[in-house]
Amino acid sequence: MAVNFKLNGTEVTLTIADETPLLYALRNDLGINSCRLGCGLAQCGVCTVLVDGEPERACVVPIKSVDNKKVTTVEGLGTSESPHPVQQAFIDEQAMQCGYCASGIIMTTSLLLKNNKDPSESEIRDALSGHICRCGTHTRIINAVKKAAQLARSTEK
Amino acid sequence: MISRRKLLFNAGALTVYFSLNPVLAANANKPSSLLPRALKHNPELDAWLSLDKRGKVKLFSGKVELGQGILTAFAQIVAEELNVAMTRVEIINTDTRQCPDLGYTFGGISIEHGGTALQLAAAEAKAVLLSYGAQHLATETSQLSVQDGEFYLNNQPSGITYWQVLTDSRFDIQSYGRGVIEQSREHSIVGTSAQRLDIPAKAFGQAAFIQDMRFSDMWHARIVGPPVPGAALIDSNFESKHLSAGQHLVQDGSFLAIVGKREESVVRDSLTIANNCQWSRGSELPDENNLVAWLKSAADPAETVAQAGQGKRNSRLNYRAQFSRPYQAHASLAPSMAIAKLEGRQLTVWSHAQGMFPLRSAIARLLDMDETMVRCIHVPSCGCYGHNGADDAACDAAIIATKLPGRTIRLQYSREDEFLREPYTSAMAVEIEASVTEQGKIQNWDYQIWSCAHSSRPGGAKRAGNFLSASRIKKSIAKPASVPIPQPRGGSDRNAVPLYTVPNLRIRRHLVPEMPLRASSLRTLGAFTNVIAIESCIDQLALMTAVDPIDFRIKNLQDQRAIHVLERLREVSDWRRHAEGQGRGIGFARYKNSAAYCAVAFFVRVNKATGKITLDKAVSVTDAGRVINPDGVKNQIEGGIIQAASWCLKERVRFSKTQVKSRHWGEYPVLGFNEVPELETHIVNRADQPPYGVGEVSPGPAGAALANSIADALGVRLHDIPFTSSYVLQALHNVSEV
Ligand code: FES
Ligand code: FES
Repeated sequence: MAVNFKLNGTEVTLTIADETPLLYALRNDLGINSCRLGCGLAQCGVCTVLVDGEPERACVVPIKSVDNKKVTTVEGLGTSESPHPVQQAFIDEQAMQCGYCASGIIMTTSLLLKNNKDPSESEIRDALSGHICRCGTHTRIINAVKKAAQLARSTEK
Repeated sequence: MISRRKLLFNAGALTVYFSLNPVLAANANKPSSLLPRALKHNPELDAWLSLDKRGKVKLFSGKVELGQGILTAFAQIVAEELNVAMTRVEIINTDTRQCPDLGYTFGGISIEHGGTALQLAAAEAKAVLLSYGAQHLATETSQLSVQDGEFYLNNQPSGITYWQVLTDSRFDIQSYGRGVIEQSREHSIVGTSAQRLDIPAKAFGQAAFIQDMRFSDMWHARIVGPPVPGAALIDSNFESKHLSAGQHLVQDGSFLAIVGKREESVVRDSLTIANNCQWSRGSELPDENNLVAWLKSAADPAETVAQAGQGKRNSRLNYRAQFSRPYQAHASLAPSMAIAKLEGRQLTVWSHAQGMFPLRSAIARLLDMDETMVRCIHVPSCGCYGHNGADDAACDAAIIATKLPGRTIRLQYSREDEFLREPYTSAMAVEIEASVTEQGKIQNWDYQIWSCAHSSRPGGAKRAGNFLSASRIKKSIAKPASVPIPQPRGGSDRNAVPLYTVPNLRIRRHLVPEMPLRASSLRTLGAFTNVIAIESCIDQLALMTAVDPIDFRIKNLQDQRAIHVLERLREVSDWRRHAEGQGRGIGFARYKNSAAYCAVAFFVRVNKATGKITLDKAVSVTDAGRVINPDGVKNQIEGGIIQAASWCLKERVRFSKTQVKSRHWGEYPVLGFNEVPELETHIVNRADQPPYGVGEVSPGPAGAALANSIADALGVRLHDIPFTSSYVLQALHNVSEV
């Protein structure tokens, strides 16, 4: 079956097996880097993307379920020329050790800040509780989220 | 001006002064015996650095990026020594065809060893370039300085650059130690928190990891392994109905893999084949609830690794206890993978393992190939924290590639493969018996360790049998016998000798030679457990003599740098003013008794009704000598503290008599965003001291501080990791019974 959806603002059409996880379609058919395999079991958050603005774990989402929807990945947030506040904050705060967890966390954070302009520390921790960071970069990531919120508020003014 | 005395290099106690006399330098026609080993073994300057016509400096890295920011630190070192902007430094990841052989990147020694050698190589390159510049400008080197690669003649820009004087971009010269490192000068790049070079790509979704490599002829592969360690394939009579069209099954003895164009079909077929395989029973696993008893029953006789004094003296104030750690996993966030291709007789392997040269030798041995026909190239993945599944993935990809010549094979382990296949850190038991005088001086110290070996890397031809698949393929190689890592580095006994002054001391190690569960190196090896045991004991001795834990430590230490970090920690941590109901604890160690010093204070709360431990805050002070990148150092120290807290509170590989049950994150939980403490990280920068790696300095002290803070909060000491809430409740129950 052919699946049509908007990937980071661009219409794409794929003809692959219905049950193909969105993760493999994004990586192997559409050249996306940011969405990566961590567990394949919806446990770690590494592959988090937005589907129609809602966070989804691309490793367990069958491609057919995004038909006619909008999929956003880190590539769709911003670029080095015009970074999204969350990307800028993660760079400024060096909120990575290996950075393998970062893509998913950046996506979740972008959604958090959309709904909550000034999240408290415990709201940030709750929002990220579905993500695993094995390097122990948590406190820097929490600081980066606070910084991103600040950046987003100041660019809005 | 060059009249100042110059420091050639300063490695520990060895300090060499060298005057910048061109005649002297020219006469140095053989390598200085004082050069670091890495330079002596890789004397060609071109193996370290080269200039590139586009105005770049190429840095051929012998150490690999594991998420610790080492390549950024290396770029800082080169930019500083060569006087070029950091943006001119282009890093070539370790590649056995073009980089120096610096062995493994481990043990937190990359900066100490690799960095020092690289600094000397860069200084030497600069000396060579200066002499060419002087020739070119018909002047003396003493009249020249350099800014961003341009020669300045008597402080005026000359218009002549490095890239003009070194015409063919190669140095073609051996490293003799002509380089001069001005230790006293002002650094402009080293010592600053330069931005990590790899972070922007990771924030923008650019190709940044080995996972992001793609080849037009690439096929995906998954392995089908036994559910039980040591099991062999009994029924290998697969019917083609189990395979989708176009898919290949690669079999060699008990090694099985599915290969095909579409990743999702390869995954599906590998699950189907797994369901249709029959394996032999495999080896019996020990009782996971009685690991200490098993370790003691399976161990070889004791070996004494350190002894001092006349033997035990009588004392009224004795403490005796046993501590243990279960098997724990590296549990890297990304399951391991590798890419391999056989073209003609040439095999290329892209891997995220920790040592490309050792990997090359081991793969060549296993596949019976000439080492020169194997090329291993490092591409970063996520953090590994030691010997995880990376080497095995590289080996497996290579096996498959040799069966499907001409194809680029991308082998990806599943989450379950990684949990089942990675070597864990060995379970470990420690017994300690110590005494103290009424005056608070440690008197006796008797310490014993039971553990499997802490390294079983498949590094080099002799150890190829350590690949998991080495025993599974038809031309199998037996696993080499376990060899403990000798002191002073030590494996299970790393940091087993306390830094405290102890007149009567004996340290013994019992090696458990068999490995029913594969064990190898995890960050800090045995040091984590040893520092927890030592520091728990120290706290108990302090308690017995009613001395403040920090005072007690200082009283029993002689090393001034050690005393300094403890005193700093007391100042910065609000040690005396912790909150009501909060437990506080301290942990200290000098890593390997020869590298960086780290002291941590943990503040926790324990709910005595539920057993829940809440981590409020951890404050640390680290002295790692000269710091190349302060923010990078902090990042690693913080990571070590959080990982240690996770090991202490949550982690334990679960298994039955016949199989490992920790196959996904649900069965192997780690510390999450809702559980991590607030961190405060202080660095003592000692610009005049040699730099020490910091990747492994904080876990031991952090684990010890946490154990001590829990004991403080509960009034009861916990001895067996992990300190779960049910363990807390049981420990409280046991005291109330007494
Ligand atoms: S890879 Fe999708 S949640 Fe882990
Ligand atoms: S930075 Fe490595 S997993 Fe988060």
